[in-house]
Amino acid sequence: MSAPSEDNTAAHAQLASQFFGDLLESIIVDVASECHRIARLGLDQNLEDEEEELKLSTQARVRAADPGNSGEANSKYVVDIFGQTHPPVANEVFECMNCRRSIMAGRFAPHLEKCMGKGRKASLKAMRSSTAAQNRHSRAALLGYSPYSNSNGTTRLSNGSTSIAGDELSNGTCDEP
Amino acid sequence: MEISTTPRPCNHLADHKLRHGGISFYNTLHDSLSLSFNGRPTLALSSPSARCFSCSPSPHQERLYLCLICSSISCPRHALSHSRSSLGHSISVDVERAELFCSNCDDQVYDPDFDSILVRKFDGSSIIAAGDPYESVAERSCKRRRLRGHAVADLDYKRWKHLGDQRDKSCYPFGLRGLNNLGNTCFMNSVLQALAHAPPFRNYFLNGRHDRGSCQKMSSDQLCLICDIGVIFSAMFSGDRTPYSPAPFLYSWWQHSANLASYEQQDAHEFFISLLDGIHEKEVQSKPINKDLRDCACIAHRVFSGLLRSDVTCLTCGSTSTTYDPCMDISLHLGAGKCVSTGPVNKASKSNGSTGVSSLVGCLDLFTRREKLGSDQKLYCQNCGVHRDSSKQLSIKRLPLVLCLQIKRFEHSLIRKTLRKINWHLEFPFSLDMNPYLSSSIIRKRLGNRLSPLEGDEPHVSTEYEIFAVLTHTGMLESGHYVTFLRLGSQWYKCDDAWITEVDEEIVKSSQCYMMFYMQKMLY
Amino acid sequence: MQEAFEIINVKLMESGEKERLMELLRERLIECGWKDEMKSLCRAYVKKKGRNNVTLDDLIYVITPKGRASVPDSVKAELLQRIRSFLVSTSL
Repeated sequence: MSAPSEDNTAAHAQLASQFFGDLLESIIVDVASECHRIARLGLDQNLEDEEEELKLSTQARVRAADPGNSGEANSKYVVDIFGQTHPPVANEVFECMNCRRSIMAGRFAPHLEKCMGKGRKASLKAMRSSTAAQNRHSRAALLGYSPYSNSNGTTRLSNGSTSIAGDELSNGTCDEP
Repeated sequence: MEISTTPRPCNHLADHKLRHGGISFYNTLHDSLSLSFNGRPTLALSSPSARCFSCSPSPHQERLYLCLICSSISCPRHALSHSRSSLGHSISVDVERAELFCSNCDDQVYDPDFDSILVRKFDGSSIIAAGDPYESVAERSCKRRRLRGHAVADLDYKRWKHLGDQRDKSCYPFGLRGLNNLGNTCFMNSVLQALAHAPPFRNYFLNGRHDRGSCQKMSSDQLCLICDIGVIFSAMFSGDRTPYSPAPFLYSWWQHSANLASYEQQDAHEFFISLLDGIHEKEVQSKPINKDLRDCACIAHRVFSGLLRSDVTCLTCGSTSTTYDPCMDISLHLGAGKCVSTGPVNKASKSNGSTGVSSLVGCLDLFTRREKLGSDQKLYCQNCGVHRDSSKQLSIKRLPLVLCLQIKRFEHSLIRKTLRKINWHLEFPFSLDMNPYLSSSIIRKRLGNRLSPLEGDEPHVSTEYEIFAVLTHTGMLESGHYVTFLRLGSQWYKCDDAWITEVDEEIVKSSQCYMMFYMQKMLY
Repeated sequence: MQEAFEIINVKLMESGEKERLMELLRERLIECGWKDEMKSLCRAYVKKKGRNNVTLDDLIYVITPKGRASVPDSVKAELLQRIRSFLVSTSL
């Protein structure tokens, strides 16, 4: 058994680098062999399609980023394909299934929550989705609002009505037209 | 573009096999074929220090070839001289990679019989299919090319469109109808739009497979989630184009799932999963159907359920244990911070940090990649009898009719203990071939892309999918907005609550997709 | 030196350490995109020559220079460190 010496260290460094070179050469042959098989047996049929898709997608992004090409964004909320216009907050009025009071569509969910006496902090049920379960982060969710809600959770009607979600008295109901 | 063909067989190899009794030419190899602990096939030699017989003094060689006639070992250079000096000894096998080599051709050569022996040895579950495995792949890809060249007949859509024309003079596809936002309910609307246009799912409701009348008589609590969905779909396909308010559904949904009932922003994917869950529970309740999720006959499982295969391999002895789990969707990591795609185009545009680009194909590759489990996750190995370091690999054993892919657009920060939304762009194809992610393909790839009799494993399964709905999420993690893009015929439509508009496919391709719905091509 | 190399090579193989090192290097080269880069070099070459006119040696020749040069320093350092600890542990 020899004590570590400078000689030894230098020899080790040289040997190590020689071994590393060998491992690398071997892996280079692995890759070449794999590619050879793929080429000869035509196993890469999907690849050309994938590259084509990537190209189209990149082009699409470039075009979408071009402000001169955002016709889609401008026509938003003006008129739909059927030639209809809609108010920012849906104003259809129907009867609440729970309390039978008349309620406006766009304010139905906040009304119903109170009407049914459900708690806001209700915990979410564990979901049966095996791949989602494999994800180790417990809450894996993207939350979505109506775009017309502001940050403090109230919803104001665009016509200046003062109906507010937190207001127990009005409770989002309105008189039958 | 080159069209794949059956590889030109090596004449020398064919000649050798003829003279040495066909497949039995490989008999000598059968016992020495083995798997390294990472599952790659190699040849186990009696001595680990085997080297070229002719090189002297023998330097290290990264390639060693074992002669199939006399079992002498040569480096690539001496393989040629060996075949010259010993006439007829031209076929050998690469010891480390278990690939055939012909020194007359001076190249690696391929033989389906050799591959079959190898695959049969290492995958006991496989069934031997008749015919030439090489040909079947070549034929398959030719067929696919042909299919791609032709416009796919969209019978279903034409039928709907025809009906639509009768009821509504507008030329828009039947079933296209906006849904009113009831107050933070875009998560629900976006999922309902996608479900209403998933043909096998929708048809079940529209064809009256679930009878509302008799259901109400049987049910004591008067609540039926399936009836509720039927009501929405009927309304959407009524021909009326004014936005519909899915209020009765929301009411009964909240009654069904008391714990989900809150006027809060919610996650569309969670809603989707719990909706399918609710349908399953209801059907199992009302009908004495199989409770085993693996072949549950409820409409949710019939349409969306696939089977995931998970192979856990012991890193010490190489033995593998396999489990199967049903799944209603596949959740994919965006591969935060890591390169996940393979295309050279992608490489170029990927380097700019938070605005990085990934591809769906890259995400699927990552999903089915062999993953080494951490040392804190040692699993019990039946063979070794102790807990060992293991690797895990997922693959798809059975594909669903409608494939839902969810992109995990969130990142967990361990330091700040918060979730962050990843706004990366994700490239996704409109036509998706799931074949590379099937268990048969994954195992074949593990065995070095050997074309195997596994092809015959699931004979009539179509692996080609067409996209029909994309759910996008814009905005922040806590607050944002969901919109669904629907592809009906060859046109894309944007369903943004009450607003339905036509959009170019560029808009869809550049959108921030969150959930993608693909259906089997034969249904499209 | 050659003799020492051979002795250690056998020890590396017999202990199974060589296979573990190979696996580690393979993993790292996949993670950093090295393998993808090599594969696209091969693909480009195959495209140019035609899939039936490319030999294994051609492909090895095509990717070897780039393959040697583009291993990230961190990967190389990690592997060298592990090999050196093996050398120390075998007291050679």
